[in-house]
Amino acid sequence: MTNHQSVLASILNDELFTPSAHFSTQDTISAWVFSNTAPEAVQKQVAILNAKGIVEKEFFTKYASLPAWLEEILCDLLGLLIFGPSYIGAQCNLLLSMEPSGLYLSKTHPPTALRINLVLNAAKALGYDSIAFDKDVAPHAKAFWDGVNSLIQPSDWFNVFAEESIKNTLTALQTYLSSFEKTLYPIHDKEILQQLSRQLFKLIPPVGNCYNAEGEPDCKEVDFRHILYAGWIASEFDPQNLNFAMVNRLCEHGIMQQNAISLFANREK
Amino acid sequence: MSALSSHAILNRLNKGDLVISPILNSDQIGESSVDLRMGTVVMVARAGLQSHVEPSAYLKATNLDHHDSVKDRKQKHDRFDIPFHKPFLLHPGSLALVPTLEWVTLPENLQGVVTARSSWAREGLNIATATIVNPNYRGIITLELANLGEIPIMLYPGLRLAQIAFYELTELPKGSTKKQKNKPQFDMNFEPEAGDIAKHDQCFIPRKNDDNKAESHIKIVQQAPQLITTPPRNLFCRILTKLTSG
Repeated sequence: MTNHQSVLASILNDELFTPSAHFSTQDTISAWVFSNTAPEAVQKQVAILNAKGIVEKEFFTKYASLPAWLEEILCDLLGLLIFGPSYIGAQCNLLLSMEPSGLYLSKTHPPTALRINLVLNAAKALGYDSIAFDKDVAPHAKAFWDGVNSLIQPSDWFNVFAEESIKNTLTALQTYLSSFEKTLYPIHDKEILQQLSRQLFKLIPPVGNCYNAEGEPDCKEVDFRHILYAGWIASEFDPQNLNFAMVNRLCEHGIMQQNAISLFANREK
Repeated sequence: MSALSSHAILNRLNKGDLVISPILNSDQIGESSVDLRMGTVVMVARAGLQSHVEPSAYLKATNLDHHDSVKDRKQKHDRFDIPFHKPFLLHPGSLALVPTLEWVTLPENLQGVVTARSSWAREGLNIATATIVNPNYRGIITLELANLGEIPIMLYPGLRLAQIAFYELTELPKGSTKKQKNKPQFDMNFEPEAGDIAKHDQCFIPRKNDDNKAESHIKIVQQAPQLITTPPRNLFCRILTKLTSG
């Protein structure tokens, strides 16, 4: 295990897993999986495991891998902190396209619904969904957040981590990641996000193509993660005429162009 | 029709009805034009299995458009992704299609004309034709680059190779607004594409039944040596085509 992994694992262990009633030890997680408050679909899978002779205490010795489950949770939180809101869009789309119910007990991954609930609660704690956009962008940003929040499983069985615990974990991870330049998602660049979104609404690749007060070209360096988030906002703009594939292609082109802007801006450094 | 000055171009860019994105700095805007940079894709025209460019291969009437035997009759373009700081070598006599770095959106009352920058032209780099960009166009602009010099030219994405000037139309094209509304949703160009040389000229191109006549005429004009140098597989394809066409 590298130094980074051990630091990150200990943050998660201290701040997220240990305080959790359900995720503090291997036994408590097994008990949570096998509990009679689990959704019916989960209980059916547990019954199948029982029929195969796998009982509660053997869940992580004969069936699933606990280190793999815990690492997935760490990766989800890192993905959120590094890639920002676009991570949520990508994660929800990808995971639910592979397993729409979100309730499958995988050997290597905790249930998708647990991961989605955790990431969305974490995004809320980070304030990702609270940027007050102007009225031309705000409805589409709201539609994006409404869309992903509609995927939250209402059952309390999935909310294994307390809000306070999630906040403490995020703070500790942010503190650690902030020592690495440009790693954390640069949150709250409202003006940039609006400009990128408006470019996409007009079918223009989103980049920091700006003009100064004198009307002269004055390109700005824009973090590619803002381009990705603007893409998710724009995908709610007019899905009939600006569908996801088009937004995706425009964003890809914008990231390429932004690379040129960065090279040009740093030409003398 | 009048050409736009740099001041008029900047006004339009600031207003947003003309889009050239990104313009990296004001040096890119000349007296009456804007420099265009090379993008990160190159498509090189290469001789495939055909002895010549044959317009009939571009006719869309056939149901066999996607069959390899038909594709082989069209000129091929090899696609290369060239990242920034990586070179592309354009050899003498070769033709490459290159997208601009810039995304261009024209309003309905402007036409663009793309030409090579003279400094590059002096090195042998030629933009084969003065490309006209129609009003309402949206996307990258495809530059058709040819090396007319005697030695290869090293090109890097981001270099300013071409320039675009803008001309204001004295009168809007008839039905331009309606045409714009009816544009298909994917009518945006991200990369160069091979053109359709048969478009709207089908009546001048012999169809399948007339293939034999067309072929025999070519033989006379080209006096056979061209056909002798054709790769064997192509001859095989020709024989097959003739046999199947009866």
